Amino acid sequence: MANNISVRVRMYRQGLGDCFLLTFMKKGKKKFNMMIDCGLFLGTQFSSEIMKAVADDVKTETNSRLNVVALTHEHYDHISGFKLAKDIFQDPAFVFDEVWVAWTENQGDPKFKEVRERFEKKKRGLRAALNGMSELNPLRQTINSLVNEFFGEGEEDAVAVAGLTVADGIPLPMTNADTWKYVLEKSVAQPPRYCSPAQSFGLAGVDEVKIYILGPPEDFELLDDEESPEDETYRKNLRMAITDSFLAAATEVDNADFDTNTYLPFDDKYPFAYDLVKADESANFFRDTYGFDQDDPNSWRRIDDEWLGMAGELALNIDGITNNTCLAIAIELVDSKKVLIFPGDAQFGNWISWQKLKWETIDASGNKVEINVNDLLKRTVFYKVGHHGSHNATLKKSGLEKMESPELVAMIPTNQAFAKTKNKDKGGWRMPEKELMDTLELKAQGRVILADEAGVAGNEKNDLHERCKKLKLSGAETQNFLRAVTFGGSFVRNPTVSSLPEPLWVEYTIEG
Amino acid sequence: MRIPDPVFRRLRGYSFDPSLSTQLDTALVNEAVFKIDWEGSLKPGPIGEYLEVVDYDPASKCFYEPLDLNDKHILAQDGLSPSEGNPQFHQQMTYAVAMTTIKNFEKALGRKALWSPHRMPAGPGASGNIEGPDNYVQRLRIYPHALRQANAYYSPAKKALLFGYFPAVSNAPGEFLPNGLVFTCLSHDIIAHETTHALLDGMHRRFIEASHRDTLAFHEAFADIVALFQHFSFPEVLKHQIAKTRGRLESQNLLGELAQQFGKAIGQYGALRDAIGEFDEKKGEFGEKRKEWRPKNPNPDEYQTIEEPHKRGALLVAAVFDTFLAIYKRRVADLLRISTGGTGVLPEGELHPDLVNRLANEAAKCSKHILNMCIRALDYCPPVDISFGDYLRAIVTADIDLVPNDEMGYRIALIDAFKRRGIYPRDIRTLSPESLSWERFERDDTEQLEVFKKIAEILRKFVHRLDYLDGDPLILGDFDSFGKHFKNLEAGSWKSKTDRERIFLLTEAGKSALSELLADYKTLGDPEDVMQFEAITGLHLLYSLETHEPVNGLEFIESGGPQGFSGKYVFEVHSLRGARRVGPDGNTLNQVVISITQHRIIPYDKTLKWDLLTEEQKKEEPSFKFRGGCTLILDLQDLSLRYAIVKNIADKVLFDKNLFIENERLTRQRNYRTGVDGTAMRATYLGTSDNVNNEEPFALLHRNF
Repeated sequence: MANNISVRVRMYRQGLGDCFLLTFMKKGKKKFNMMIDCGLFLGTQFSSEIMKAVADDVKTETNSRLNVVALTHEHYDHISGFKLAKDIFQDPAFVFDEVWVAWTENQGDPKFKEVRERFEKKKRGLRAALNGMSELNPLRQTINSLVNEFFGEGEEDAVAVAGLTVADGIPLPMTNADTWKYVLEKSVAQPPRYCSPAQSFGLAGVDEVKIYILGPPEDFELLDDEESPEDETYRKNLRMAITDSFLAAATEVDNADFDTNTYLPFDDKYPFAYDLVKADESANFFRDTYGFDQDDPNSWRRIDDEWLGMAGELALNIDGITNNTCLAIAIELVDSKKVLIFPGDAQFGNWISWQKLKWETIDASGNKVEINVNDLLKRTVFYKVGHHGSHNATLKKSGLEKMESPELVAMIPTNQAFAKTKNKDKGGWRMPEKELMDTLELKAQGRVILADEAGVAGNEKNDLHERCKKLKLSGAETQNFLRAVTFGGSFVRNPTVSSLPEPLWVEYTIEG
Repeated sequence: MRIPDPVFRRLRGYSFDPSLSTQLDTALVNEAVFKIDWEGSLKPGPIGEYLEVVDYDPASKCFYEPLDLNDKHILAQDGLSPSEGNPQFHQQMTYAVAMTTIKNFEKALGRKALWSPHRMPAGPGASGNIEGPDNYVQRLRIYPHALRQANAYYSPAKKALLFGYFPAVSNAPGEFLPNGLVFTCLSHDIIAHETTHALLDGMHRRFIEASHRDTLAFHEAFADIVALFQHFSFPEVLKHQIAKTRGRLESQNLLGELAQQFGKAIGQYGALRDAIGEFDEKKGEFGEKRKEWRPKNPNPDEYQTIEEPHKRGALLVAAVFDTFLAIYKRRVADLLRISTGGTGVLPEGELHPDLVNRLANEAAKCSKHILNMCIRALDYCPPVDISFGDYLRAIVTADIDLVPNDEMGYRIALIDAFKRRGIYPRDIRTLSPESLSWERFERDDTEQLEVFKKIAEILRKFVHRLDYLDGDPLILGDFDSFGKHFKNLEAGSWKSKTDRERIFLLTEAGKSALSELLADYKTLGDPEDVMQFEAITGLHLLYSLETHEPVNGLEFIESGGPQGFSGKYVFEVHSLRGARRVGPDGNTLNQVVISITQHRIIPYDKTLKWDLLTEEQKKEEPSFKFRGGCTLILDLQDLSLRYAIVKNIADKVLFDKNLFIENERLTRQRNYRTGVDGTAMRATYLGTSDNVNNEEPFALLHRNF
């Protein structure tokens, strides 16, 4: 209905990374806007130019005033835009009214203190373990780039790899944490809003929109849960103990975080210190068998770094924890009861925690009723696909399966060509993963919008049309859907490959 | 008087692991004395003919002193006494169990075990053999304290077993000491399991490649099977468990379980894996949670749905163990009748010790038979891409060959156990031993193919030398078609080499001779002939546009050849071994097993063809190696082909219908590798990329938490 509030969801097409601009409209007038994340994966070529184009567009579209900036989590591909396009964002005339982050970001919150400290300790330990590995160890390179990609560290290396220098307009290094802080401080008028699960609130001055906070969970156990629902506390404790024993050895002797001696396996009388044995020039068993020289014929059998392989596991664990601390929100258009879901990159533990939440609301006849996440999922007409469509960031049974609306539309902020270059030997990252993509297509009857598809010049909706046809969406519905989709803006992705401009964003309008 | 060498070296160790020594019930049987074949030249480490224990603990940055098993004090007391706190005992334990495993394996196989060679990087101009030369690896290395993880694995890249240790977290009070450590190198089952990985890799180097969802699972299953059946070789344990279960080995018992301590330490209710049962959560009388053991019922769906290699492997283990139980029951039925006056129903109370002894004997004998069947079958497996169905066929064929008369019904029991778990080979209509056996060739079938005669000639020489390992191939002066293939062999050095190294050198020479023969054959042979050879072996050797569609991605050497050939496809004589066995009826089998492989480079992207890519694209495009080939079993009695176990490399092209059908196995493999079946985030990010984790396929696999 024309008098109801509607929302335009603009997904930027910058590459592998999230940047969404939501504009709430009433009677053709912009009432409120909200940006959710602004980032691009580390190592993308011309990232600064691209993100500047995005920031410019956001600025113009919002008339230099963002009512809300919601940051889901501290990963590079979700926040690097603020750094890459710092010139534009730092303009004092560009105002952020309010910044929303997860409750876990509240340094003053005692609940998360322990978890945070442990997390930071793990992160430091992981760094130390990586430093301890030989430069030649292929695992070190893999894990290193993984860590860097997530946390935006080692950016100079990546910039160098991409063949660019500071002179190319690449801003000086700024870690994720710096970026994060900078955004939080930018909303001068208001302190950041720390969102906790089960909260719900309206938008300032717009009663017709209601926000429900889904995650991150307050149950720490779930933060650590990437996959298995059966993980018991015991296993967690074990994992903690093993991690500590590993990190105690991986970090330096005087490290304040760990006591190296706690985990030594035998009494003092048994060990011969490696350094002493190595320094002993005379022939001995260890020199003969293990050897210490580079050109020793048996050097290929040494195991100096093998035990550090656990660092890979740790890196994934840390990544999983960060993904699980994602701010996940549901947005309800109150009049029409339509719901939009933005889960960030939430993984299993985050999703599953939504099941316990309850909200109080007023139904049509004015009675107080309690609703839960399944009510929201049932009415979901828009789903921002988590973690670029990878397989364990969309819960199937208690998530996607419950989205029953016949109007469901999904957007996937991905760039498959770029994802394919990652972990190449295994066929590249699958973003989206095929099985998930199939399910999404089926649920949405083809109405899935990928950030890297823009048909052909002049007929941008070609891919979308084809997909609807494949999934046998009726002609009328296909037309309705395509009418609600707009491609716009323009940028050149990589001038060294092609100078042809392509649309900067794709937009989908949900009528209230 | 010269006293002959002892036959055995006696070494004490745990029959299971330290945890059972703290339980009154099992403490007495948990300390076993391993009788290891005497190694006269055993050096401190211990370092012997097969193994070298090097005790470096990189996480603690220290070494532990090597144990000298020839120290007279140690000799006099059957080695060090079992102790968790003494690293030297850990060295002894790993040596004892690994040697036991190796010797059991050798006995079943009827030949000496070799470790997989250390492959050097490819040199230029290597014809026939695609990758670089293989170097002999005499000893498997054992690092008892290599990792600080709940993990242990075999490293094919380092030819080493890496054992981890980790802090135990108390689950039930009294189970573990606070801050106590669990050492994986003290578990019989874990040592036997990892050693078996190495032994299997020594025979089938390509089985570590995860090309099918069964391949890694097969590795795990086989390692578990060997570890499990080794339990039956400890008489005290066996009798104890038979008495305890009153002869009912299908009820819960230690023999069917693996890695007790490890399982409990990582938070499971019982052992890490159990071949017969599982724990089920039950609500107790007062609503408390309780776990109850119950036998596992075969569920045919599991073979379709379970992906994780250990769990998937457990299906195969259960099928084999089930076979054992069925045969055991049949074998002891008469004993039970005799001892119960014909009813077969045992009275209440303990069993008579004599009956326990007899039952134990039967169990030991029967477990040995089953284990032998499983190990012998390795010679009848395809060289790449093995599935459980292939393995079933291999066991059946190997058994028919050696034991034509299956009186006890081993084969029927085996097939039945597989069937109940939904494990079938593809393309098989009926499940009888005859139809499951690989297709058997008779002399007439291949007689007209000259090439098999030539192959046999080489093989005869090979086997002849295998029988007289003392004869120095250089001094013998036979620089005929075979002798010249001994590369890099220094004159006079033969004498100083051990038999195992001689076997290795002979094998390499034999492979080289065969490689040369086949390379000539495909270039010079009659095309009709070669095509017939291709049909038998599933290889693709010819390149001729008139008769063949080019096989995309198959490595091809462009050089002009006679008779219309424009070049050669590359192949590799992958392995060669002699197998001589004596059956229970006194019949002997004298066979030679050859495997020949090829590979194609396949882009993950279905729409691309490798050969059509530019050099630049080839560098960028994600791709994998798709392997094919065959195992040929030849009978030396009449020098003819008996079996050809084939994995086709080429696609199907029907010229008359103008139809191209992609190799079905290739389609499946691409889907598997790209994880259409859904894999963890780990696979997304770290994957099992060909250059990183293929070297250490077990490192992540064995991390069990």
